[in-house]
Amino acid sequence: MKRAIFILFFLSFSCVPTEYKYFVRTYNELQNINWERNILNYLPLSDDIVYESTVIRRTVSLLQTQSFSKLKVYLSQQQEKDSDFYFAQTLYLMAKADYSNAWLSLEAVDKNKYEPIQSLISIDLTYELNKKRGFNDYVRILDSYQTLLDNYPNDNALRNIIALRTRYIRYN
Amino acid sequence: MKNLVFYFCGLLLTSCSSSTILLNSLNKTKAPLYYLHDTPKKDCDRTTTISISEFSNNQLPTTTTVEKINRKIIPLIFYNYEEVNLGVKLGKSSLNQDYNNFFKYALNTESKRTGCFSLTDSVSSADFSLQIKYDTCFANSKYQMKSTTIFILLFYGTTYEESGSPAYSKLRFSAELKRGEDVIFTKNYLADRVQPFISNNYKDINKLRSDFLVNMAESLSLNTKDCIELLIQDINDNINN
Repeated sequence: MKRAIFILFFLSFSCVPTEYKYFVRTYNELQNINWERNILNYLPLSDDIVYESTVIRRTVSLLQTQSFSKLKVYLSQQQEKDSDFYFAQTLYLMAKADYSNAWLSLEAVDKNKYEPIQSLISIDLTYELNKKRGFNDYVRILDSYQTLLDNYPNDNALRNIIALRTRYIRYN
Repeated sequence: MKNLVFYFCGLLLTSCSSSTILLNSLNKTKAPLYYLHDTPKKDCDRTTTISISEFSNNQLPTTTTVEKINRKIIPLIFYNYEEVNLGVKLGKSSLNQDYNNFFKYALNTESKRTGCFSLTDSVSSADFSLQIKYDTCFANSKYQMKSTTIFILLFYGTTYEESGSPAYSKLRFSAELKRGEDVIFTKNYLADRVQPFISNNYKDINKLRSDFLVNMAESLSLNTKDCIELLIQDINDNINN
């Protein structure tokens, strides 16, 4: 009996779902988002990025259905470890809230290959890793988001996304 | 019977001190004032200088206050419901930055993006002087505490819930731009905003209370943003005429 209670107790903790904070969305999908009552962090992907690479396309498709175990297997089966692979792996690790490994994976991606999302993820990871270490320098993070926004003044989706990031930081 | 006595004593004590409990909890955290400058940067001549000759704002309360708006009780034999509605006014003590400094910093940052002038600290050498006088500046909100108890024979079950409402803030200030003693323009700026509360699905009550405070500061920040953007636009229009 005691063992059964212990197992139930253990299971109740092991079944606590991971809090997913970052969500991959294509620019088309972002057009249907309600930005007002929202605090979600979107990772915007242009069609060019999604459709030019099979590994990214498959990753995005599996992330959208939250098929994380399938995606893990799929990524582990990849032979070619190029920028596309590391970028796809970064998206997977971001979605799984494994920020330390996501940072290592992002480092392996060619610089400026997937802008502006690459810079956005870099700032997100800096924020999450700092927060994990108990260090919340939101002023510097906001400055980085502000600079990114100013580098893409005509990207409305990015502006909305960064406004939500500001909200997210404000409430964390 | 003993249980019932304990329960009603507890209920009485809790309801009497609900505003104090909330205030103590709110006083433990401080909310940030900031916003994202999302106006497109303007490329224009910034040789004209403006100094802020006067900035007065004593409208924001010094401390955050909580007061009871009303209390509803349904005391039945098998069912007991209590609801306490509290009104909260944001004070300077709950902000992690001085509001007046925040305003000046935001005005300076925005002027570097969209202003066709530059702000200077030197009042004597500036081409124009700007006076800003606040006559309204507040952010408030409503907080609710609810408890329900159902009695079945000698047993009872109780639920307790707290929730925040969207914050309401209002700013009103007058701005006067002068060249020497000549008044170039005077205008009143008014902004009011109801800022949606992000969610009420909280497991941690302290997080809910902290976010409730942040919601009021967010509302105040975004109202300031709206006013500053309008002010800079008006200054641009007037100094170039």
